[in-house]
Order: sequence, then structure tokens, then C-alpha cells
Amino acid sequence: MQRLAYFAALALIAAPAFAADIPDDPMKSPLWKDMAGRFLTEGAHPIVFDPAVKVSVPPMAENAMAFPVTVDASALEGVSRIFVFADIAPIPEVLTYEPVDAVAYLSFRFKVEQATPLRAAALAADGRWHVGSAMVNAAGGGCTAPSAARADLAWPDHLGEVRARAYTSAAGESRLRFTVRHPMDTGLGAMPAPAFYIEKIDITAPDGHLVGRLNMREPVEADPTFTLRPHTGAGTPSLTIRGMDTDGNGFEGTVPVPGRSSALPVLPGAG
Amino acid sequence: MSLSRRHFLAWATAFGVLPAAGIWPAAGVAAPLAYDLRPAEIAPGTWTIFGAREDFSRQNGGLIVNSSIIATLEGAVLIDTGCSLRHGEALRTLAESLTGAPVVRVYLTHHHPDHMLGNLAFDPAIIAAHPAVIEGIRVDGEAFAGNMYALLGDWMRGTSAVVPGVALTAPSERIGGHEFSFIPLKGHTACDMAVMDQTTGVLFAGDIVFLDRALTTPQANIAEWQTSLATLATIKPRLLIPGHGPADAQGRALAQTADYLGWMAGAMGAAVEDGLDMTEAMDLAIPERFSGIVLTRHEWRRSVVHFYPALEAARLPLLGRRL
Repeated sequence: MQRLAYFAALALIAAPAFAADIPDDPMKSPLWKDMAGRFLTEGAHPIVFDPAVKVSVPPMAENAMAFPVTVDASALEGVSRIFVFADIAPIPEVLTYEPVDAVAYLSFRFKVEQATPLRAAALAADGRWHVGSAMVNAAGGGCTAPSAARADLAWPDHLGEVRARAYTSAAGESRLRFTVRHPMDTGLGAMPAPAFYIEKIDITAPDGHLVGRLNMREPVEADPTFTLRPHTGAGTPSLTIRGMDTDGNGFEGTVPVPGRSSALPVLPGAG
Repeated sequence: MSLSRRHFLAWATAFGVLPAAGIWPAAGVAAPLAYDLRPAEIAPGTWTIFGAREDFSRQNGGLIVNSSIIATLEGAVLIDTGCSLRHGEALRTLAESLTGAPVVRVYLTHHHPDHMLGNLAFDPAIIAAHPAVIEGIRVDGEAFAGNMYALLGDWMRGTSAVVPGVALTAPSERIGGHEFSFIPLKGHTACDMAVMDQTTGVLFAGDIVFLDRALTTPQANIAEWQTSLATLATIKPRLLIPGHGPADAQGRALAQTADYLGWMAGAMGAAVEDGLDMTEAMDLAIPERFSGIVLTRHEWRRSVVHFYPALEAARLPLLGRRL
């Protein structure tokens, strides 16, 4: 009886604090519960796996330094933030996107260290984390040349340059694509360069209101490129992209938003 | 132990009865990995080993590329050495048995791993390539080998990149009654060399030409590639051997490669211009006329990764700077 009580106590102490609230992972990743416990338990929001959060990835990583992902949580009501993380990675956190005045939709690319489940957790108006997953297969590209180690020595001259373009479909839906020049050093590996990366990017409308906010970590690709879908109307002739890196370097660019154009294709998910 | 019991055990072991009964584990030997090379005689004294029209796999050991053997009066000539030491050794043995003579010259079409990682099976002094191909092997060779080890595992055992010993600077070379001329090209890589056997009329086009197998673009420049195809179109060989795919006597291979590249360049540029991100571009439809080409979806996805960043840099205007 005493031994039974001892083991019961041991089980209680050993179990993670919120293990009972974290659903089992359909992908059966050994690190899912650890990662969910680490990132999704603050605020005690219930966690559900939800196919409405679509995570689109290619079947294999052709370039492990820039693996493309599209997260589409637009089917959910009132998504306040989307948190992307990888179960098995030296730095599991990838980014958080707050679609303040935008569709809950984001495309980005990130550095893959090894094959891992990738998660996009969307906090919706119902107060729950809705989690979508995809398997990232990093099997190597065969004929791919080795990645050059920052061979462009002139990169400081281009640090913070913003290339951007906005598109408007016939239905009036907008899309913003932009790239910011930045080495996004992880601080890991053989290269001794310390971590140096863009931490935050805000997209604002001319009246100053926040359209979208990105907070990101080291795994986002070098010279990161993003696709967002801001809500725009007659009052948004332009959008401003403003951000800062871990050294306090700021950058800014303003993008004109074209009027409705029938020449542009209907965007995915629109109409 | 009694004498009779000891005798019984010795007898049982010798005849494998006990191991067969599972009392002692039988010695197991995994089937050794071996390339099953099937040469096809495509011209007098000329054989091509046609690679599988597949992607690299543990099943095919990387035998996805075409290599060719030419019998000459001075010995055998080999074009491209395969993707591993084992592959190169198998080609060497096959060349010796087909031609009755040792391999006296190896030509490499370009520096990609599936075409040159069998070099270690040959004396570097007989391996000849364009100087830019040699430089490519020097720079990328070991990293390519690493990638191949990850893909093919033990098929690659003992393989390392070997730099050719002969830099081809002359336009042609005469070996044992065959006149081989060299056509330096670019587009699939920074240097792709086609070899024309003037004596038989066979053009070994290397990876400038793919037939019925989707072309690969990790180091490609489409405009240069189209120029190279136009150059090859002026040659009019009796037979063309592409880097991947079947032999072609009608010019179909050149036309298909050019058509496919033209479509790819247009579709890729349009995708960026239309504001698609990479994952959306990867799902775009591939024209029906290419349905006879294998691996198009797989290679198109890879090509999106290869070409998108440069196209985005060109088509997204510079609108912002560091503060």
C-alpha cells in the first residue's frame, strides 16, 4: 500500500504540469507534448488539432536554408496570432504573426536542420489554439551545390533594403510580398558569427493603424521573403513595412497598393 | 560430455542442422550492392548503359544517368563514370569485357555527381574534361559526394571526388581510329561539354539534353541553355545520346528540351509577376504535352526553389532602406 502511494506520488511529480490538456499528436512526434507545454500552455487556452489550419509545404527540402511554407488559417474566426514552431530543431520557435487587419494567412521560408513536424498554432476568437501540422522532410537535394557561406562580402551595404510589391485582385483582395536583406545569422554551427536577425516587422496603413505584425527568430531564412494578405480598401493607397533587428538596426519602406485590377488573377482563397 | 554426444554435435554443426533448427544463429550475409549494367549497342562498337528514368534511390543506387563505351583500336573510351566508386568499377569491368581492351580515355560531360563520382575507379591521368569542369569538381566535388552519401548510403562506400588529370583545350582528339570533337556549352551548369564521335556520327550530349525525363536546374541558366541547344541543333548527328533518357535519331530530344525550358522560363516568371509565393508556384499545372516526361512535378518543385529568389529580386521593386 505504501509502495502504491509512493509510485502514485512519483507519477504526479514526473508528469508535466498541463499534460492532461495537451491532445495526442496525430503525427506521433516524441517532442509534441514538450513543445506544446513550452509554448502553448500560457493563458490556459485549450489546444485542438484542426485541419482548418492548413500548413502547405513541398514533400522535400531542396534547399535546407530556405524551406517554403504557407500557413492558411483563414477559415477560422478572429485569429489574433499564429505561432509557428518545429518540434525537432535547435531553435524550435520560427515566428509569430498577428494578422491585426489582415487575413490569417502567411507564406515564409525557414532554415531546416533535420526532418521535423512543423506546427502552426492559431489562437482564434473561441479562445482555443487550433494547430495545423506538416512534415518537413530534409533529405538533401542530390545535385544541389553546397550552400555558399555568405559569399557576398558586400552584404552590409544592402542590410535592411526592402523589396516589395502589392497586388490587388479583381475581387478587391490585396496581397503584399516583400523581401528584407539580412543575413539572419543563427549563432549556431561552425560559423562564429553571433546571432543577428530581424526581430520584428510591422505593416501599417497610412493612418498609422497596424495591419500585421511579425515577430521572428533565427530560423527564418536569410534575406527573408514573406507573403501577407492585408485587408485594404479605398483608404489604403499604400502600406509601410517597418522593422528592427537584434542590433537595433531599423529599416522602412512604403509600397503603393494598386486599385482593383481585372488583369490580376483571383488570389487563392478569395471569392 | 560423452564421446557420442560430442560426435553428434560436431556432425550437426558441420551439416548445419543446429543452426537450421535455430539453436545457434545462422551466419547471415546481406546481399552485396551491385549495379546491374545492361549495355545497348547503339552504333558499331558503341554501347550506352541507359540509366533508370527515376530519381536517386536506395533501390537504383543512383544508376539514373547514361554512360557510354566506345571500342577503338587503342582501347575503350568511356563517357561519364557514374555516381559512385562501385558504379565506376562496374563500368570499367563492362568496358573491358565488351571491347576486350582496357579503358584508355574517360571523357566527362560536366561536374555533377551522377556523372563523375565513379572517377576513383580510373587512373586520373586518363580522365579528361574541360578546364571549367575540372574546376567544378575541385570546388563542389566533396560536397556533392556528401549529398550522395546521404541519398544512397552504402552504395557510395569508398567514394570520393577525383579531379581529372587531363584538361581538354584542343577542339578534338583522335583515339584508335575515332575522331572525338568537343563542344563546350553551358546552361545546365557553367560548363557542359558535348562529345561528338565524328567516326560513328553519335553525339553524346550530356545534360544539355534530357529526353522523356524532367530536366534538373540546380545550377542552370535557362537563356544559356537555350543557346546551347541551338548550337547542338546545327550538328545533325546520326544519333543523339542525352544525359538522361533514350537514344534519339529524329531530333525529338533537342526539341523537347527546348520546348520544356521555354515553358519553364515563362511559367516561372509569370508566377512571380502574379504575386504567387513558392508553395503556390509549385502547384501550378504542367502542360499536357509534357505528360510523357517522367518526374516533371518533382523537378518543377525543385526548379521553383532554384529560380524564385533571383526572379523576386528582379521583380519586387527596391522601395525601402535601412534607417
